[in-house]
Amino acid sequence: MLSDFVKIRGSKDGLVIIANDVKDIDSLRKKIINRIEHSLTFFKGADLIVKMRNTDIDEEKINELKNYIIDNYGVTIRLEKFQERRLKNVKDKNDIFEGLEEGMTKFYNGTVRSGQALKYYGNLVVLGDVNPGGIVQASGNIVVMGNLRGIAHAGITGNSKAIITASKINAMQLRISKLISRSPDNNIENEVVYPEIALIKRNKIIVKPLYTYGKI
Amino acid sequence: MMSEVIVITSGKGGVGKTTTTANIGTCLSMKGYKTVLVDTDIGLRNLDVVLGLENRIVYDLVDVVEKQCRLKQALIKDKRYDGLCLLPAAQTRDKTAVSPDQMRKLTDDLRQEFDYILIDCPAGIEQGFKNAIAGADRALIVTTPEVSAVRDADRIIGLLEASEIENQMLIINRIKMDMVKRGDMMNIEDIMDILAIDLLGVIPDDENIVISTNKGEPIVTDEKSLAGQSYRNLTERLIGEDVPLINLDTNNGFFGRLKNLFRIASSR
Repeated sequence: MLSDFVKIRGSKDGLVIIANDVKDIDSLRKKIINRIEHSLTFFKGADLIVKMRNTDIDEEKINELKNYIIDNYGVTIRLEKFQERRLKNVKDKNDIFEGLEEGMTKFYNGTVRSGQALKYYGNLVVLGDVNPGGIVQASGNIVVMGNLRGIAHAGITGNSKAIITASKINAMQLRISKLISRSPDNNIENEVVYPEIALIKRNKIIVKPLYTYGKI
Repeated sequence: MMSEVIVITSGKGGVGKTTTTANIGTCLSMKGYKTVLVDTDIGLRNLDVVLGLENRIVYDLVDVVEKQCRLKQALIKDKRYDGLCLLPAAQTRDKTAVSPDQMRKLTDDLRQEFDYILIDCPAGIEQGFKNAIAGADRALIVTTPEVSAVRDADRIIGLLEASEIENQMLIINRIKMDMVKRGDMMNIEDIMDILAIDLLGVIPDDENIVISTNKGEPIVTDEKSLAGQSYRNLTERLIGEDVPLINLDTNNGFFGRLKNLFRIASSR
């Protein structure tokens, strides 16, 4: 009996029906109507989100169902693909990326050469150098396992907590969220040979040795 | 043997592509290979001048591609070196007169007759460059030990990788050993660190090159010139021989390290 009932959850998007194991439009209709009829007053006038994994049901039939339910029960249905939950950190390109500690990460194998631009809405790890004239951008953190000589821009969608770290930072410019900085003008004598990390502190981008990072 | 189409490119202008093409081509023909040099710098042709063949041009690359003449009619046989031919560029047109597809067809035709087809690429990354690399099997990237030249070479390498020309080798031209020792000129290791491709050869700066280009006699024919000898060694490495590095410098320490770079390059 329980399997006839479709699960309903409350989320910040409103009421959500999880209809995972639905194979065709008729069983979907049965399931939704079943649930609604069960508590008519509760659902009336509500927006109902239906999340389903099965996406090869006919568009037309889905619209038919939507209209039927609005007309007869006053409930608006929105259909969404189920998988989207997994990409919650990158749901919208305009949203601030929240996955700095645990989030979608891209691994790029190779050197980013002059004139090449690498952009990812998530964290980015480059297994290679970033040559001068090359630019790497990420909405999350940037890690360069190599020599960062070009431009790195972390937190491009607005997260100021994003960091940039590299085996060697010799960057033309470092950018985090809206701040831009370049290396001091007289630094030719002080070439640093250990890994460093760049982050925003007191509204400025600072660069410090990576091995002291954990002890801030 | 299978024909090879090699494009000589750089990104930056004036680093020595045309001089390199002329010298490698002459050297290959002296070794007995049937070689053709193709000038794709349409509108600003130079390869004919450097070879001393400018008075013999009747038809050019654009005439061939537009079918105004047969390929054989446009090819100029160099009388000094058996097996060396030049296909000159047009001087009155510009780079839009040729397309990459036309270049591919042309290089396919040339493969029937020649062992080595060297393509002299114009400076830049636009149509001229795209035309030049269209039919190429491998690329030689020429740079000088200057930051701006290395930056442009890096861009070119990125573009070549994107066009799937993966066999790429570097030629460092116009190096001045005394400036490198003083720290006034980029170190070869610094250049290799950024560009990260195999090194084919290093050519020292030589006043005699200016004289040779003006006279139209490639410097590989000069027995005494150090640059000429470097080009000869470079060509031998190109065709697969294992050639030891000539000592451009009396300080063995510097060259000990350089030799290692060459061992890596020539052992492939």
